[in-house]
Amino acid sequence: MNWQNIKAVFYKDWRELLKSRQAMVTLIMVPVILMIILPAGIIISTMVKSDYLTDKNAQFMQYFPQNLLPPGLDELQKLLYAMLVIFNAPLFLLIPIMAASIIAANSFAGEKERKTLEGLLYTPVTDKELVLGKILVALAPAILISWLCFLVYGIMVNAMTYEVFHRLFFPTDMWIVLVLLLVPGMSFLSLSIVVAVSQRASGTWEAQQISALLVLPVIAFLISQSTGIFYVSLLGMIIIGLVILLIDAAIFFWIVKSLDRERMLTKLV
Amino acid sequence: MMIETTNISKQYPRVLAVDGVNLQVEKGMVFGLLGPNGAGKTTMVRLLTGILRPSAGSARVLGFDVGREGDRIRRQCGVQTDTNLYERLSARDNLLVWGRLYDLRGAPLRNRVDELIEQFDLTERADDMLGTFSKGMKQKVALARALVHDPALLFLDEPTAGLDPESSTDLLEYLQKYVERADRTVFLCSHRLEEVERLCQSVGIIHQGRLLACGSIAQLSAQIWREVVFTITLQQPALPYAGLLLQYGIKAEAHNSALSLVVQKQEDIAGIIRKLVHSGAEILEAVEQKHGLHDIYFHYLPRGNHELAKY
Repeated sequence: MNWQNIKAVFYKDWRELLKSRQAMVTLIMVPVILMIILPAGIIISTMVKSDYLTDKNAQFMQYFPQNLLPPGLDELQKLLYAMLVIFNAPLFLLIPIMAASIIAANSFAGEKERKTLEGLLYTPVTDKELVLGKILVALAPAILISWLCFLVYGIMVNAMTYEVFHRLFFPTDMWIVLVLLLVPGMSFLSLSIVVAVSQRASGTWEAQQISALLVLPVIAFLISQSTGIFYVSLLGMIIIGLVILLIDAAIFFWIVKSLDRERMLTKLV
Repeated sequence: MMIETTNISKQYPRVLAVDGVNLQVEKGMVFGLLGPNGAGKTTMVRLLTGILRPSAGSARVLGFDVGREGDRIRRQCGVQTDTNLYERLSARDNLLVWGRLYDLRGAPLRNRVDELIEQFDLTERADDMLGTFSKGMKQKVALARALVHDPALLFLDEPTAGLDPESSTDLLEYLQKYVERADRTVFLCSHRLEEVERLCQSVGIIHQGRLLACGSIAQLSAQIWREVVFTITLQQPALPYAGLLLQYGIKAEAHNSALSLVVQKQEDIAGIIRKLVHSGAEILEAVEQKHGLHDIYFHYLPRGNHELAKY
């Protein structure tokens, strides 16, 4: 295994990704909408005293499991906490999933679709180096984008609600687990599904759509979080994170083991 | 020996794409593998670069075994096939990215890329997105890409496929210059006879995975046509001289002022010319009818026959 080769593949895919307007627009717009525009809207609408909004908010809070909220918060603080800390957590998880699957689809299925893969197979890059370079090019930006979002979100949320909380209430322990365990874990899971699908999918679009199925459990998580049907405790979250990382490790070894240049090539024709 | 195969075969699930091929390519030689579409040319390139494993037989390329040492072979080979380049990157970026895959970095890489851009007359458009290039220009970039690490052995798979006559002549000129200048070994696959005839010192004809013939054009021609045909053009009508030659036991056909005759060896023609001159014939020219690659190719693959082969 030669790191220079892995870096060369990474560099190539990275240059290509930066030139893909469609991928770049989605990679920038989705985090901006989910982690800036949406929460800013929530904060502003919650803090503005309007009858309609307070009614809606009261309804939301009526069904919200109160035991999830830390003690000693007033009504407005409870509402903001519920929205920004609990409700938005699964939304945040959509970012690494989305980013990893878009980049991986571009780099695996996209290369096949654009008929550029065969050229790479004629270079001295080994199968393992090729796949590792491609995994890294999807994984690193997905994690970095998510972490950047987390940073911006944290600053924004604390700054906009400082007059309500009078302290920095974000991030909570759960968010730290999300960021450190679930972001890398879900990014890898998402890209490995794309890699598996890319073996059979005919193009970027198809690979991306199938891998979007991964969003479903996250949406289920979102609904269960917000309705309190099923709430994952901090310990539960750590366990889920570790299990996902274990699954990732297993998938990684399976991908590397099942690599075959000849099959990659004959699948092209 | 740069390439040496021993009964190499490749069986795909439904097709025997290469069937027991034996061939040798010496260092510094331009070898042309000729054959119709689907004859097994691309599979040969894939076998020789170690990206397909042989089903039977073996091959050594640059001294390495294709089955076990593919990545060492690929390090010293340049390959141009009909695979696409990165259309969203500029021509320069395509070459830079490729150079890095062959461990080139920094100033040596940039200098090499500049050199290729200049050699292939791409300077003006070097920083334009490749997607905006014509097919001919893309092929030039593909060739430059295969040469980025100055490979000892260059594989070219249909380098002029899909090009108009102008671009393909253009590309062939670059190739010819490269071959002359660099003294490099080239393995060229093509179904274009003029291309192979112009560039290659040695030729193999492949059909349905089998190598039907292999050697220089002169050798192949001598194997098929044992006799030498000459046409002698005279100043005067040729018929009386045909009669004269018959007295010496030499059969010649007369047509207007041209005599057409068959000799066993090229040297025999000197004596015949001497006889004609002695009898007062004024000779304008004496031309040996050479058999070109075209004749050789269609000798092995009669027209209409190979087109039926389906792969």
